[in-house]
Amino acid sequence: MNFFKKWSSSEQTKFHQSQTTSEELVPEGEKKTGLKNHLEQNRSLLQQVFGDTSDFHIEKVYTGNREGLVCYLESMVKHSLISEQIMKPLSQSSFKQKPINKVKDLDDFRKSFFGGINFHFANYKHEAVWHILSGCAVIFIEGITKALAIEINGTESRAITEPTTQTIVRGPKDAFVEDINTNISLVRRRLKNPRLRFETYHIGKDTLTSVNIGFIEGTVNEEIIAEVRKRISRIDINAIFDSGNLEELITDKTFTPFPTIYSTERPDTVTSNLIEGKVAIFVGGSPFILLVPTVFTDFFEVSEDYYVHFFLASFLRIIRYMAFLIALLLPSFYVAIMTFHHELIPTRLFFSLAAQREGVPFPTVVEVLLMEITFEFLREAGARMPRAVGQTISIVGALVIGQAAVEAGIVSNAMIIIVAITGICNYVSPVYNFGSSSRLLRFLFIFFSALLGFYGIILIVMLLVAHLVSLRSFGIPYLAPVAPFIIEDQDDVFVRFPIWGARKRPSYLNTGSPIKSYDAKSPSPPPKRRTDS
Amino acid sequence: MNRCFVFSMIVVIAFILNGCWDAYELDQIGIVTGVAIDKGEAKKLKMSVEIINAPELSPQQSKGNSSTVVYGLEGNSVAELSHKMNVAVSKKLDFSHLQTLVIGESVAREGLLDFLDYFESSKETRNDFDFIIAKKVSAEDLMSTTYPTENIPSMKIYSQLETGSKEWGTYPRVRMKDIITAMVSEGRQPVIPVATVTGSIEEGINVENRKNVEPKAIVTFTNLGVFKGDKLLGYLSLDDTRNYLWTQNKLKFTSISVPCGKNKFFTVRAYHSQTNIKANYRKGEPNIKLNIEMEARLDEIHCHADITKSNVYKKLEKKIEDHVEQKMTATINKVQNKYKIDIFGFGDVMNRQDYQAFKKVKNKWDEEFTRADIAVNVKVNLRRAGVRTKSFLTELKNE
Repeated sequence: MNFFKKWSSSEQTKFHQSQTTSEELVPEGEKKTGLKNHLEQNRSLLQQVFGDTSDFHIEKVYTGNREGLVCYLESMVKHSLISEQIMKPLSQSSFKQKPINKVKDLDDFRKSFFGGINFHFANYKHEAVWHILSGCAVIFIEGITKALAIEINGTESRAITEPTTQTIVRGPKDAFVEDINTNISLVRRRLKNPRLRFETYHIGKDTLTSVNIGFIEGTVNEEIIAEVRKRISRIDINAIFDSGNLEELITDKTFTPFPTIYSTERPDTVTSNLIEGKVAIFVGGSPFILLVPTVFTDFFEVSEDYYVHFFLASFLRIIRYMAFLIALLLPSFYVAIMTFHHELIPTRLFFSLAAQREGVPFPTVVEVLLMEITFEFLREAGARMPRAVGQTISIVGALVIGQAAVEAGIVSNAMIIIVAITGICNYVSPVYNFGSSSRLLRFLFIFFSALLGFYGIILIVMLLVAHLVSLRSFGIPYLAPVAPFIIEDQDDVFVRFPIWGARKRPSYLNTGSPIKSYDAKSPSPPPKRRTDS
Repeated sequence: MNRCFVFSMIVVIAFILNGCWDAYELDQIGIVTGVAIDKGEAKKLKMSVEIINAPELSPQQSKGNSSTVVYGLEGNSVAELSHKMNVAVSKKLDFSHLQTLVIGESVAREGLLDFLDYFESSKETRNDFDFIIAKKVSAEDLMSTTYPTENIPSMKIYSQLETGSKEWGTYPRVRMKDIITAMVSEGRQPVIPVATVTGSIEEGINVENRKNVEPKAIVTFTNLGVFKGDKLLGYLSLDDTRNYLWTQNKLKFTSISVPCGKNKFFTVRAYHSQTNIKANYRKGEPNIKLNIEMEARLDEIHCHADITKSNVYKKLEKKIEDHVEQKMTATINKVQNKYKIDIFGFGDVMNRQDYQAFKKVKNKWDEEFTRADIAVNVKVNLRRAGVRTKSFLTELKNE
C-alpha cells in the first residue's frame, strides 16, 4: 500500500475543515449567539430567522410555574404527535411539576414528561434553528437559557418496495427508499453487529443533506475510512440531492467513463460489502447507497451470485464479461471487418453479407452510426416518456426502424442484428451506470475502426487498458485483483468458489481482519453406518 | 513531463501515420472466387476471373440470373492482369476469398507456372485455395460450367475436392504451399488433380444448365497430373491417385472392392489408416518400406462366407492385404518406370531418416528413386460387419 501512503501524505497538507454545520444557518455575525433568558427575546430571535413563513408555529404553553414556548415547523412534524407527545403532557404539567428554576432542572422536566423520546438540548440560537428545521418541537422556558428539542418529525416517506433497477430472481426483494433512517435500519437489521458504526455529516449549505458513512469497526481498513472522512469533510457545495452528486464530489478521477464508486439500491449488497470491509455512504433523499472502494470486477457481480449454485454463478459472471466486451467492441469489429479485413470472414458468410450490403447506399460506418444513434434515441425516449405512451415507442422502434429500414434498403439485415446484440449486451451489466461506459466508448471504437480497422481498435484498447490501470478508487488500484494480479483473491472474481471455499476478505482492501471464517468446511454426508456387526 | 511528451508523441504517430487507404466497402469490391489461367494467343497468359453476383446468392434477392460473371483478359503477368480486369469488370477485384485456381493443360505442359509468385507473395490472397488442371477443355470453360445445387462453379469444385478427398480418396487437396515446396524440394515432385468437362461445353456455361435433371455438362475429376518441376509430364488414373494418397498418409477413409470369385466381390470400408515409411540405403541400394495399417468394416459381400467365424475374417483380411499390396506396388512401379520421378516424397523421407546417404544423391534423386527397392506391407484389421451377421444371400435357393 505504498502508493496509498504517498498519495495521502501529499494531500494532508492541503486539507482543511470546511464541512457545513448548523452554524451557517444564521448570519455571519450571529454565530455562537446564546439563547436568552426571556421568552420574548427568544421568540424574536427565531422570528428574525424564520421571518413570516406560514408553516412556522410558535405556541405559548405553561410548564408548571413558568411560561414556555413550543416552536416547530408544521410541515416537518406530525400533527397527532404534537398534541399527543407535547401538548398533552404539558397541559398536565402544572399539577405535578417540580418547579424549574435552573438550567439543570430542564433535564428532570424532560424525564418526567418526554421520557423515551429522542431529544436534544440547544444552547445556541443556531442549534435551536437546526432542530426546528430537522423536525423537532423546541421548547423554551422563561428564565432558562437552554432549549429542549423533542424529535417528533413525522414526514411521509415512500414504503419499502422491490428494487426497480437491480432486480434479482432469488434473494431478498427489498430496496432502499429516500428516507435515510429507513435505509440505515434496513442495513442494521441485517447486520446485528455491535461494531457496525455510522457517522453523520451534513453537506450542502442550502440543503444540509444528511450523509452517513457506515462501516464495521475492526474490519474496515482504517486508511480508507480516514480517506472517506477527509473527502466528505472537504466538500464545499450548496446542494446535494442524490448520491450521484456526492459521487462526483468524492470520486478519485472525474474524467473517466468508468465509475469508481459502486451504487446500489439493494440492502443485501450493502451489507455483504460492509462485511467484506468496504465503506457505505448513505445520502438523505437518495435510494442509492454508495460503496467504496470499488474495483472494476465489482461491476460484474450481483448479490444473486451468492444465492444460486456456484456453477451457475460462475457461468453467469463469464457471460457478463463476454457481454461487456461485445457491447464495447462488436459494432467496431463489424465496421473493421466489412471495410478492411474481408479475408477474415468465413467465405459463405461473406457471400451472405455481400448480398445484404448490395444496394445499401451508405458506407458501413455511417450505417452503424445511424442505427446506433437511433437505438440511443429509442432508449432515451423509453426511459423518460410517460408510461401511458410506452406502447407507441416499442411499436415504432421495432416495426418502423427495425423492419422498414431493412425493407427500404437503407440498412442491411446484419446491421440490425449487430445493433440488437450490442443493445442487449449493454444491459447485461448489473449496475446501470457501468453500462454507460461501454455505451460511450463504443462510439470511439467505431470511429477509429472506420479510420484504421483492427489496427485502430487495438490502439484504442491499449489506451483504454493504460487508462484503466491508472485509475484508483480511494487508493485501491481499479483493476485489482487482476492488475496487480493477486492469486488468493481469484476465488471470487471470474468464477465464484463455494461459499465455504472463500474464507478470506479481498486482500487488496487491506482489511483489519483478513479472514472471514476460519473453520468453513464443505458439507458432507454422514459417515456410513455399519449394519453387519 | 518528458515521459509524458514521448508517450503522447507515440500515440499521435500511431494514429496519424495511417489512414483509410485500404478501406473498401463490400459493395465496392468484386469478390473473386475462381481464377483460370490459360495460354494466351497474343500474350503470355490469359487470366479469367470468376466474380460473384452477390444478390443472386441470397435466397430472398435471387432473380434466377447468373450468380457469377466470368471475364478473361490476355496479358503477360497475373499481377498486372488482376488490376487491369476493369476493362470489362465494374468493381475492384478482391482475391481474398479465392476458392479454386484452374490451370489450363497447355500452361502446365509448357511449365508456365511462374505466375504462382504473385499468389504466393500477395498479401491479399489466403493460401487455402485448391489447384486443379483442366484437361482437354480450356480452364475458363471448366470454371464456368454450372452445377444445379451450387451457385458458384468454383465453390462446387472446392467442396467436391473436399468431400472427394475424405470419402474415397479421389484426389489430393493441393494447396499452393504443397506445390511450391514440392517444386523446390530435391526429394519430391508436385502433383495436381486434373478435371475435365463431361458433356457440351456450350450448354455448360449457361445458367439453364442448372435446370436440367441430368446436367448437360458437368465437371468431373479424371486423373492426377504428375509434374517434373513446373512441367506437366502425364496423368495417373483415379485408382492410382488413391494409392498415391495412401503413401502420403492422407487417406482417412476409402472403400476397397476385392474379388472373391468369378465376378464376385466383397467391399470393405477402410478407416483409421496409418502409413509409416522407412527409407534408407542398404548396400548402396535405396530401400523404402511402406507399412500401412488400417481398420476396416465389411460393407458388402457377394460370396458365401460365414461372417460369424473369426477365421473367415482372417481370410478376408489376408485377401484385402494382398490386393492392396499388389495395387500399390503396381502404382509405384508405374511411376518409377513410366515417369521416373518421385512424386511420393520418398526422397524427403530419406532426407530425414538417412541424411548422410541422401546428401550424396540429392541432385539425382529421381534416378535413385527409379531403381529403388520399394516394398509395401499392409496390415488390415477387419473389425466388424454391418448389422446383419447372416446375409440374405445365403438363403437364396438357386445358390
